[in-house]
Amino acid sequence: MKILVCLKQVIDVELNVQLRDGRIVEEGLQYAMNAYDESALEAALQLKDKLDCEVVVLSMGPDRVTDVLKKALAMGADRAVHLDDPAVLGGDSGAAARAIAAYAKDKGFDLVMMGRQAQDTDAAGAGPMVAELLGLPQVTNIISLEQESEGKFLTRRVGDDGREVVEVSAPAVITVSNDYGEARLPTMKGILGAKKKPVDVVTLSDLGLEASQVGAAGSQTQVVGREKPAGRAAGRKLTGEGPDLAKQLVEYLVNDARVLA
Amino acid sequence: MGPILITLMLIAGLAGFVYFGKDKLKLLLRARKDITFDHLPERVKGLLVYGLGQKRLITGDPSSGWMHALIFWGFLILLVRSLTLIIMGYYEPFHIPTFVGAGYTFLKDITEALVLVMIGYAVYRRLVIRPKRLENSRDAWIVLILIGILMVTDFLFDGAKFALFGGPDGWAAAEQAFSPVGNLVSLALAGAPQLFNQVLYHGAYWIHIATLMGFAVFLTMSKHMHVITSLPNVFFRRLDTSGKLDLLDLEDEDAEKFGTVTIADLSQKQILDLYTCTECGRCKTSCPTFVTDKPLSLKMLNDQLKHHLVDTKDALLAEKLDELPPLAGNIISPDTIWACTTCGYCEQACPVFIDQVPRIVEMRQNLVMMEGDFPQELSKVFKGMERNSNPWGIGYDKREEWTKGLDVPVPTVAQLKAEGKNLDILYFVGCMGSFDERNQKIARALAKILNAAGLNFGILGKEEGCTGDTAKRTGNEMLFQELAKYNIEKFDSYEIKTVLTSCPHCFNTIKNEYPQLGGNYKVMHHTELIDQLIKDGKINLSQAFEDVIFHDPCYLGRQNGIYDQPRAILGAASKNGVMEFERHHEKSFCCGAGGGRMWMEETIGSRINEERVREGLEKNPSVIASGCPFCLVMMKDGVAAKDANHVKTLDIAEIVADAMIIPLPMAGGNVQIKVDNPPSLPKTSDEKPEA
Amino acid sequence: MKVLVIAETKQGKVKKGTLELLGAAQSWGAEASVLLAGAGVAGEVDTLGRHGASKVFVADDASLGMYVTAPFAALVVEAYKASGAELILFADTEMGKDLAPRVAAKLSLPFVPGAVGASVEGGKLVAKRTSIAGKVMETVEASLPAIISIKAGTFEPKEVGGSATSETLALPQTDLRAIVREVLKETSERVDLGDARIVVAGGRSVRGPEGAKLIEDLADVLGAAVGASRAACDSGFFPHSCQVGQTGRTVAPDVYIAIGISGAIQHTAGMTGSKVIVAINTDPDAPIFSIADFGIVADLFTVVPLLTEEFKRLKAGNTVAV
Repeated sequence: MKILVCLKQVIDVELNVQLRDGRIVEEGLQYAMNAYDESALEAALQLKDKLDCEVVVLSMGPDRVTDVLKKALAMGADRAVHLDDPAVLGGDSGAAARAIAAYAKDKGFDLVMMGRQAQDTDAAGAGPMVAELLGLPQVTNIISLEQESEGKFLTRRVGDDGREVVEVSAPAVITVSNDYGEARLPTMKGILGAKKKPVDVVTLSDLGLEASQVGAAGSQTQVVGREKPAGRAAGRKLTGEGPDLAKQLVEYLVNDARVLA
Repeated sequence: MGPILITLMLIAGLAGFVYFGKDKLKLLLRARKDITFDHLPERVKGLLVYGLGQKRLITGDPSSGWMHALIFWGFLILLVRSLTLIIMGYYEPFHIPTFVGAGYTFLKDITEALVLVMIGYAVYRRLVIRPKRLENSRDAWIVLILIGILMVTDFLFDGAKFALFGGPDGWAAAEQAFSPVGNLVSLALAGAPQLFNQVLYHGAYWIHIATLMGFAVFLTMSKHMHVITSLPNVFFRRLDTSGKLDLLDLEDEDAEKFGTVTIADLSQKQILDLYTCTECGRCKTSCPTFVTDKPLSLKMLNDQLKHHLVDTKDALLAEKLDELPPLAGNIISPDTIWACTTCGYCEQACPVFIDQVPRIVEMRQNLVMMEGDFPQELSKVFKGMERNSNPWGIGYDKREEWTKGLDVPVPTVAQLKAEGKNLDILYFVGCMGSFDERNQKIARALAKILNAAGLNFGILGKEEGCTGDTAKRTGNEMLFQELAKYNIEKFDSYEIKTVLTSCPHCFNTIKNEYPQLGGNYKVMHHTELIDQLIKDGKINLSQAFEDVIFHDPCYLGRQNGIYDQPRAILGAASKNGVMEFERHHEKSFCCGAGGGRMWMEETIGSRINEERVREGLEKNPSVIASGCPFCLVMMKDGVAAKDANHVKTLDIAEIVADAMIIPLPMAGGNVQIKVDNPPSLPKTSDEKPEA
Repeated sequence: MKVLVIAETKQGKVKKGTLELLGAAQSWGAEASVLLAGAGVAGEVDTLGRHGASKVFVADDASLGMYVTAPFAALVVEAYKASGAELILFADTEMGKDLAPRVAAKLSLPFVPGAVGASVEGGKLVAKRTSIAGKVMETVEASLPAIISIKAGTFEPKEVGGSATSETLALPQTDLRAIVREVLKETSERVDLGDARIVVAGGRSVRGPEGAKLIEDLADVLGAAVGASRAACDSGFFPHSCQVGQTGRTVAPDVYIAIGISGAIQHTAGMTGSKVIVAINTDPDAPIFSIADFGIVADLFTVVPLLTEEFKRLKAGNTVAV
């Protein structure tokens, strides 16, 4: 069985972000593997723990994305693919999906997996788009994944009305919720072993793509401005005796917030 | 008495001793070598004070301590008697000549009587008092009985001897004159028939010899091996505190594993430790995990490992190491391995200097670095430390935010260097002070104190990284070394010489463990510095507090010996001195946060911090003071859990900042201002300070 | 301008989010048609009409009772072609996240996800959305025709009292390679988080099932939905379906009562759209107070039962104005 896991390198969302002229200031930024994609990798590796399968990881961008690929190899992935071209950056879900689909098609992957959304864009678009471009069924936002029988997988996903048990036949595209569970830490064994694993570099032309089809240039939506969002102002904060405060809160809720309206 | 018989018995005893003991010796010799003879004078001194002097036994638990000391000294003194008795086997009338012999005979009698009384007391303790730390063990009873037999048979032998061959002109008369107890026994036997006394004389003798030989053989197979190994164990003890753990060599390309996986990975000192554990249980009495019903009993740990060692000795000696099961999960449960707070109480209590903490950390090393098998809560902690250099994973760029809104300047080292200014001391804030809301107040208080004292200090701010203490103690040595190397490089790039910390864990790691990686600095904990500032007159305190009790943080007190400075400071700030917990100084009871436990859920047994707070509340304090950010959080939570919200939990820095007297030039001297936030000093004598 | 709203239903009723999307169309002065797919939903045509829909494409079948990608995607395409719309509106829900991008790829249309503001200017869709975990507000443009998904609470439903015509769509024949076997519903008669006007949420300070029950009791007496912080769900005090925050649900009720919740950004990211935020916490320095309109520093174990009692009394005595 072959699984492709798409990993996006994102800005570390724990950091404060500075804007200058509508762009994000690069200085002092740190990058990390998108946490949702890390969960997807963990799901794939859990399958690999039980079954005979090859886990291939794909990331696109400049040199720095090799950090993400190396970490994935240290966690247990078998092979890494680096789509090395800065043109892929800054695109919307559609542009990303096009690049991924171009790589994944005709490679015989049983599952194409990725996180449900990217932590920098929170768009959640790429997964279903890749599924459509590859003509494959999709299951999104899963919190568990196991093989039921050859070519059939059983997943649990979080839907609007509760958890659903969804069965899907391979080949399929699966996006993973970051409630999937903690991803494993690379062990010393893994880190040392990763040095021997292959990292294949591919270019846009290898995939039959032009620079104008990917990244910012290839996006159908454009970010034309960025600003800091307006924060909420603080209101009243009361201290005192519990029962007294409760009374005041009830008054507020009934009169001002109109909860019993 | 019977040369052939005595020779046979000696041979049997020796043979038994060698037969049962040789494998144990081999197991010791095959292990990883770590026994050293370095620091010889200190080691010899330790041998005299702790070994021969029995210091820990006596100071730790005086009643049983004196009991054991007397038995032990008695044992040493009576070695000569045993030799004498054996020689009598070849030459019946043998006695040590001259006044030396006479003096020894007297000493021997008193000693044996004392030992017998002590044995009686030991029996009383085990049967009646039943202290919690002792378990009723078959071995213990066997030994008490054997020693009893030895003492009694010797008196009976002497008694019969003097009755048969004693005064006024028997060959034993001279000896009898100096043997009070023996003489008493002989008087009791005076009226017995001669045959009876002869049977007693020979019988007691041979029973004594047989028991002696049996005892020697028994030593090799029981916890009484400590008789042989305890003095060496004391001599070869780790001279470093348990706060200083060894550096693991991660560069070793050939290493197939890291940490302790199977029993074969224990070192020589660790094997010697297992042989030496006497199951006295002193380690248990204030072990925070044991006392709160968690499955970590150091005594049991030693016991389990010791038995496993013996059970697997064939595989070990044949070097069939693949047959050995991993310790974690098979011999020792993971709950046990992860329960330890690395507080070091057990090591401080152990009379024979068994090293407990490194062994547990080494098991954690294998679990974390090789197996990836560790409590799930640590996953986030490791990831956070790796990515943003703090256990919560908060953006590293927020490390300076505790300085926001502070009315005293807190320059960064980078700023100071850029402006060409001097740096007296680096204030290393640490993760808790930088990010934890409660502990940011400590950092702010300390900044005020440093300003008031006029020190040129700076912080690293965003350039500061986590010291890696948690990583190290939870076995993630590779993460620790990564974090440590970053800090050392950073310190050295700014030519830092002196480091001030407000956290004993940071203090311990930078002071004791950074040198192993090439980082050598003068490191002070804030209580050391504040104490010095007070003594130098740079800051003055008013007695603004009362009913203050001090909790010794493990990594400040027990691990690093800083006890006096916090107390001196609190004494100056309090109207009525400083109260002590029942368990104080090196016996302080851990708050429960060490060893990475701060980040893990406490799901088994009762809460360690609540136990410590309960202990403190006995003294009716109004303030529980400590000098560690973890202790502070633990005490705060414990007080809340006990609904004792009238008790404040404060760090010494906060107490000092509150109690500080700020001199005002216009007042012509010291004016006492007792405010929460000391006002900034006036620029000219015309301006009034804002109250 | 013509827009197509993709409706979401639960137990035969249209969800509040759909009505909000119609409200968006109203605010743009656009003509709105609706795709109403589900089981037993045909009766909702009137509701949709009253809220501004001019036409409703109905696909009502038992097989559509539960959302699954393939047939819904096919229906959207059909409705789009039939409607002549220039803009397709989805609610930013799990269904929206699953369906909207799929359709966008199918129709090769630009897709703007998770908008918190949107308008159409000069033939262009101009939307506002957050990125970098809510730290940056982006202005995004796309040429029409386009697809947009909109976060709850961005627009208001508006009853205009109109009526809509309806057209039935044929059931699509799709090859279902993904099948929903069952839905594990957490049994509750409570109102759903996404629809609720009031949300009462508990944090880890509830400490256990007894504390969680206090939260639930208050929610019940107020007719509110129950929410929770991630930490509280991870500790097992509330089911994960209650989780509000960056990795849970995003809600925008009229009133959000955060009880024993510190207000870390991971949680607040999911509820800052609420009209009124109320906080109860023992820690006066908890970050929640900096975004709360009204906060009390108190122990929830003392105060929440008192609140519940008082509201019970008020409701029983029918005295609403205090």
